[in-house]
Formats: sequence, structure tokens, C-alpha cells
Amino acid sequence: MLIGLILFPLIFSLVIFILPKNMTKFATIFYSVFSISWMVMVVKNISSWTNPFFTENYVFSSNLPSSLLLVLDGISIIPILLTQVLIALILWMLLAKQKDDKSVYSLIALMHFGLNGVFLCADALGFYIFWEITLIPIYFICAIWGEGKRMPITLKFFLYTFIGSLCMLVSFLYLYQIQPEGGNFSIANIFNVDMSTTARFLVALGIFIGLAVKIPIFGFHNWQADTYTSAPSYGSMLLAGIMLKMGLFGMYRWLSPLFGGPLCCDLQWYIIILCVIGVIYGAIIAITQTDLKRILAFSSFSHVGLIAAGIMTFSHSGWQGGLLQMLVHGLNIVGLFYIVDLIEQKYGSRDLNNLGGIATQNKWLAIYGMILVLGTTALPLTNGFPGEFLLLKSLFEYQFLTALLAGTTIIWCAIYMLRLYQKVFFGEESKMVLSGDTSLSVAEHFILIIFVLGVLVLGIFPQLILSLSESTVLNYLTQK
Amino acid sequence: MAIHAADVDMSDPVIIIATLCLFIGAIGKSAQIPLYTWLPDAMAGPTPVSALIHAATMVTAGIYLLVRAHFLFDLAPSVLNLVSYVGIATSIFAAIIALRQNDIKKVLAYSTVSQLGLMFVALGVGAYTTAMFHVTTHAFFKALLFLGAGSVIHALHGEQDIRNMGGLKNEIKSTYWIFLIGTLAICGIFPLSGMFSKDEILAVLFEKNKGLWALSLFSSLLTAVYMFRLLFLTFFGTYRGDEHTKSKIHESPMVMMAPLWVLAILSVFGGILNLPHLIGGESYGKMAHFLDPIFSHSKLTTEHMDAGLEIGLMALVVGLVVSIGFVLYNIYVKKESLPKPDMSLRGVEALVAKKFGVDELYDTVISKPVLGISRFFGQKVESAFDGISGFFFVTGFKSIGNSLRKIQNGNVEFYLIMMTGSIVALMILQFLVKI
Repeated sequence: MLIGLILFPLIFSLVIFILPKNMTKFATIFYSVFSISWMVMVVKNISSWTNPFFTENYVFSSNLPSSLLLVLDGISIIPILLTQVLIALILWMLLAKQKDDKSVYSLIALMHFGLNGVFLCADALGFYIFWEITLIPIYFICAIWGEGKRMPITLKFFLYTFIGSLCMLVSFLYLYQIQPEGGNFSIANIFNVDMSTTARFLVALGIFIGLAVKIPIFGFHNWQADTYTSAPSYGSMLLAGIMLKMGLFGMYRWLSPLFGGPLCCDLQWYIIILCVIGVIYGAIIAITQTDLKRILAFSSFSHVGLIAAGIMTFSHSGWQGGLLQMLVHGLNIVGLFYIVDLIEQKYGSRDLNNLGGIATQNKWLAIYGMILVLGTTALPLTNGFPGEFLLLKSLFEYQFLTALLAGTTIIWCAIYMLRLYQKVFFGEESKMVLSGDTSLSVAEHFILIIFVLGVLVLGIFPQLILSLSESTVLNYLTQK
Repeated sequence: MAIHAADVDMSDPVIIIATLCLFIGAIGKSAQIPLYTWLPDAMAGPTPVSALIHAATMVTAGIYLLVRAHFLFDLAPSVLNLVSYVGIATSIFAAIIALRQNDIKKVLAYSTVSQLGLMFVALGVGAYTTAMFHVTTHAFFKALLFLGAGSVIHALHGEQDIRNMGGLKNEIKSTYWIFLIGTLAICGIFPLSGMFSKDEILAVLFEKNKGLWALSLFSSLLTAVYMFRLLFLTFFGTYRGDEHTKSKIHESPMVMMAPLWVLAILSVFGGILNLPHLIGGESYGKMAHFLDPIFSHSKLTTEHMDAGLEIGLMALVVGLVVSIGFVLYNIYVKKESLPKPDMSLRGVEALVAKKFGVDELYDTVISKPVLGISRFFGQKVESAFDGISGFFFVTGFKSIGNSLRKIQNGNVEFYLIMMTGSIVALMILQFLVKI
């Protein structure tokens, strides 16, 4: 069952090269629908909602300390759902854009393979391998189809993430190393070791650095805005929508067990401080940016900081809010990136100074954009609200001041998002807007409606998602 | 909840902070000092929107919040005092600004801020029912005034400056009557709805706090000044706009006037909702009776006041308002004096016309520094991060590569020394690790 989620993307990424060019569209649609249906089938087969839903173990060789151990539980099910939906949507966007370069589809499928592996694999070495696999397709996507100074920017991105990942690998190897005879990399064993508080701290720090670069957390974020801006739109979507969820997911599965024992210094507190600084710092920068993609990059930086801070409180509301917000942030940021992409396609610019008055030219785009903007600013009854509320509640319970500072994100976010909306959609029509194409195709409507429904449905019924992870989160937190 | 709330210690800082935060929320929503500047600016919206949300309903949400949370505020008398101080300050401040505005909607906007201030004063002394009563009557006549202003603007094809109006009472009679009713209601002329609600506030204040009463009275008189000024400049005298517009002035269609008449009727008779006892009301007003179950726990409900005193206060207010009306009629209609152009204003007058420069102050104190910080972070700090990562990745790796390259020097002797040294080092290492 679970292996299908990993195998099909891999097969597709290879098969698409053999298929004739006129089959690409058909094959991609088939693949995206198939992977979503497979996911639905997996979810339907869940018989008991207690931890974990499914476990599958594929042993390659008994000599290896590592095996392909796949686990689906309440924590991994949310990024897995997000990945299937977003990959399908991103593929459809490319089809709607009439992109017929087969290697793009293949790389996205390879990315899909790596992402599903990261979220499912409960073996530290396997996790690390999948983690690195995702870096390969995104590197090529950014380096080949990017814009501007794409080579140095992509190299910077690669070096940042790769050095971070190496720190994580060292921690995993150390954890494996200190196990008694017959140990392995499976999650059950790898954290089940005795170590000094200093060693525990260093191991946690190593894993944290690996995750922090991906999320990114303040101090590790320098690659982000440049990469999001220079990457092609689908690259930014993959990065912001799904790849940074790898880091957040890693905090749940691979970082939090280390906090079960004593650490030589209060790492939890330092991480939360960094996260809260990032929340405010990113939001303030977003106010004066003029490139729409950069605004979204800093907005994303600010939002994930709050999620990471909530997770690090190790509280029920923080964890549940974090999981919900992971999904919601993925949907909203990809939806917004799509709107920016459409604006760029139709009007030839994504700079605030060249835009304005799109609402009179293209009212549907303005309507979809408004709903997504409101979702991002966490208006009640949109999907951003319940998650953000839970995260702030967890911070409030942890420490009042951090909640107060992080809570200002509500104001900052409203400032930069409404400024963005006002400058893009309202006011006088700019020259570029007047000369642009004003229609939306059926496919574009279809994709945007899915995002809009996501904003509204999850805003009104957040319980749909929260109930998936409820028992697992309770289980995790009581064990700790 | 009220029962639980009674157990809370009055000096508990939590209750102070909680009520203070609720009050700050109400300040923002109901446009009180210092967060009132958005309301006059929001008048850029269409008039019906202003009438509905910026005058009648949404802005009173702050009042409603405090009324709903009265059981908490009862426990924090110091915050309640603050509520009335903020309310009275806003009321007078906004009324003064309204005196020198020439945009018909701006005058009404500042008038709304001022009236909301009066409601907060009433809340601050615990007169919750009274505040709710004024919310209701205010909704009637302020929506009426806004829609009336909309009808005027519609008739003049978008003209909003009262200096370009005048003499409209003969051109658009129906709108004139409506606006007159609204003006008399907000000024508190007997027996329109505004009189009952406003006099109730003043009566309560007279009992509880004479200082606040005097200031509120002053604010009410200012209301009469700016409203009569608006009325006279718009509808009396001679038309001051250009001929082209004048030839096209027309009364609004029935579909616009019908709701105005409904509101006019409500503005006239709205006072019935909470008639004071001395003019045939129930023991203490229908509305008070209706709201009684909610406030039964409140320790601050008002006692009944002496009928003679109440009539005296009413007569005083009405008398003052009427005399203000006559004085202004003399100034603006008989002498036809006009507001001076903004440029020629000096001193205090200029300051008032510029709304005391609060918008500019906020711009310098808040907007500009935030934008400055944003640019500083976005340019300076980010490029510092760039510099660090550049140093680490580029300079660091290059220098490591450069120094390691020197080892590869093609000298066999050097290679042999390195090899022997490494073997010895490895042996020592193994020896150490074994032990």
C-alpha cells in the first residue's frame, strides 16, 4: 500500500521519457489522478485511527542496519495528503500553461518520489537518503529554468541545504554508533539510547540545523528569498509549498524525541526565540518589497516561523495547530504563487510598481486572489485562522512574551498582504495591465477554484484535518 | 458567568489587563482616541456603506463588546474610569475638528466619532442601558444623515464640499426635510429620538460625576454648532456652485427616498423605545426593562432621579441648543458668512482645519519608522547575511582549496614525509583508542 506512494512517482519519472511527446499530457493527468486516488484508497483502508495507521517494512539485506520502513500515522498523513494534492495541482498548472518539456514532468515526479519517501520513511538512514533525493530535482529545476542570476543563487541554496543536511547525517550516524550491538537506524531504536546531556544537545543541534535550513528559521534563511525569486514558479511552489514542510515534519518526527531527555542547555527556548525573531523580521521585510515573489517568500518565512515555534512548545495545541497550519500554508502559498504566475503570464510583470487595477480587467482573478489573501492573513472562517489561533495559544501557554511578539504577525501580515492586494488589484490600471490578456481559461478557473475551496472548507471545518492527527499527537505527547 | 466573576478579586491585575485589552479592541473598532483616524478616512467609501457600517452598525461593535463584557468591567473600576475619560476626550476632540471640516461626509464622520465618545462616557459610569439606547437612536439618525448627505451629493453630481453648496432647500425639498429631521434629532431637540437618549446620558452623568456632565454638555453643544453650520451652509442662503451643475440639480428617485423616510420616522419616534418615566414611560423605560436581566448583576445600575431635576436638565439642554441654532442662523444665513479657505486660516483655526495634524503625526511616528526598519532589514541586514554566507561558502572554501593545493607540489620527498607521518599518526591513534 504505502510502497505504492513511493514507487509510482519513481516509475512515472522514468516512463515519461519513453512515451511519445503527444502522450505527455494524457500520462501526466493519469498519473496525478492516480496518485490522488491511491492516497484516497490508503486513507479509506485505515481501520483504526490509533498510532500508527500502517507500517510496512521492506528489508533489502539482513546485513544492513537499515531497511525501508514506511510508517503512516497521524503526523505523516498530513504532509502526505498535502504532497499528493499539491503535486497534482502543480502538474495541472504546467499543463494549463502548455509546458511540453518532458524533463520538467519527470523531475517533478522524482521530487514526488523523494517527498513521499521523506514523509513516510521511519528509518533514519532512509529518511536522510530521501531527504537528499529531493534536492536533486529542485536543483535542476532552479538551475535550468530559473531566471536572473540563477546559477550563483542555486549554488547558494544547494550549499546551505547540503551543509545543513550533513550536520543532520552526523547526528544520525552518532546515534547509530552508540547503540549496543545489533542496533539499527529504525526510529524505534535510534532514539532509544543513553547519552550525556552534552551529547544529546549536540545531536539535537545537528538535526536542528539540518531542519532549520529547510524551514528556514531565522539565521538559516539567507538562501530563501533569492531562490524563491529566481526559481521558476513551479519551483517556488515546490519549495514553499512542500519542501519546507519537510523541515517542519522533521521537527515532529526526528527532533522532538531528543527533547524527551535532559539537554545541557535550553535548546528549546533558543529555537523558539529564533522562530519568533523570524516571524517579525520576515514580516517587516515583506512590507517594503516590490517583487511579488519576494513578498511571498518573506511572508512564508514569517508564517513557518510561527509553525516551528508552536511545534517547539511540545504542547497539544502547538502540535495540532502546527499540523493544520502546515497543510494550510502549503495550499495558500502555492495558490498565491499561482496567482503571481498568472499575473506574470498575462501582464508581463510581477513588480508592484508596474501593476494596478487588475480587478477591473480580470475580476475573477481578483476574487480568487482576495480569498487567498484573506486566508493567508488568517481571517476567521478562512483556513489560516484555526491553525494560527492554536499556535498562538500554545505559545501563550509556553511564555506570554513570545506569544505577544509572535501575535503581532496578525498585524504585519495584514499590512503587507493588503498592501500587495491593493497595489496589484486596485487603483488605476497600469500600462502593462491595460495591454495584458484579461481572460482566464477553464483549466485556470478549475485550479484556482480548488484553492479557494480549500481556503473556505478548511476555514469552516478545520476539524476535518485536526481529527486525522488527534490520537497520534496525544499519543506522542504523553509518551514523551 | 457573572456569578463566577463576582469571586474575582478586584485588585487582581489579570482583570485589569483583560478589561484593558478588551477596551483597546473597542477603541479600535469604535474609533476612539488614539485609534480614530481611520473612520473619517473610511468615508471614501460609498455613502450607503458609510451609513451602514461606519455610522450605524459596525462602529458600535466596540460599545456592544463593553456592554457584553460588563461583568468584567464592573470588577475593574479603574478601567471603567479610563473608559469615560477616553470617551469624553474623544467626544470633545472630534467635535472640535468637525467644526472646521468642509466635506459634508467628513463632518458627519467626526460627528460619529464624537457621539461614540459620548456612549463610552455613559459606559464608563456604568450606564450600560443608556449607552445601548444611544447606540440605537444614533443608528437611526446618523444613517439618515449619511443617506441624506448621499442624496445631496447625488443631486450635485459628486460635489462634497459644503462651500460649493447652499440654497438647496428649494431645489431638493424632500432631502432638505430629511436632513432637517436628522439634524434636529442629533442635536437633541424635543421630542425627537436623540433628545431622549442624549438627555438620559447627561442625566446619569449629572448624578454620578458633575465634571463629566459639564464636559459632555459642552460636547453636546458643539454637536449643535457643527450640525447647524452644516445644515445652514448646505440648504440655506444662495447656491454657490457653478451654473452647469445648478441646471442639473435634481431630487433623488423614489427608490432612494423611501428608505430615508423610514429612517426619518424612526429618528422622530425612536425615543419611544426608552421613554423616561416622567413622560409616561414604564417605571424606567421599555428598553431598560428589556435589558434588565442582563444587567441585574451589575452593581452600577442607576437609581431613579428626581423628576423635577430631570425636566430642568432637559429644558436647559434644549434651550441652549435652540439658542445656538438661532445664533448660527444669524451668522450663516442672515449674514451669509462663509467658511474661509483653508489657506487663509491662522493659528488654532488652521490647526483644527488640519485635524490637529494627528494623521501626519502618526505618519511620522509609526508609518515612517516601520518602513525605515523594513528597508533596513531588507537591504542592510539581508546583505550582511549575504556577506556572511558569501564569506563562508566562497572565501572559506576557496582558501581551504588554495592551501590544500600547496600540498600537491610534485615533490617526492615531501610525499614520503607526509606518508610516514600519517602512518605514525594512525598507529598512535589506534594505540590510544585501544586503551
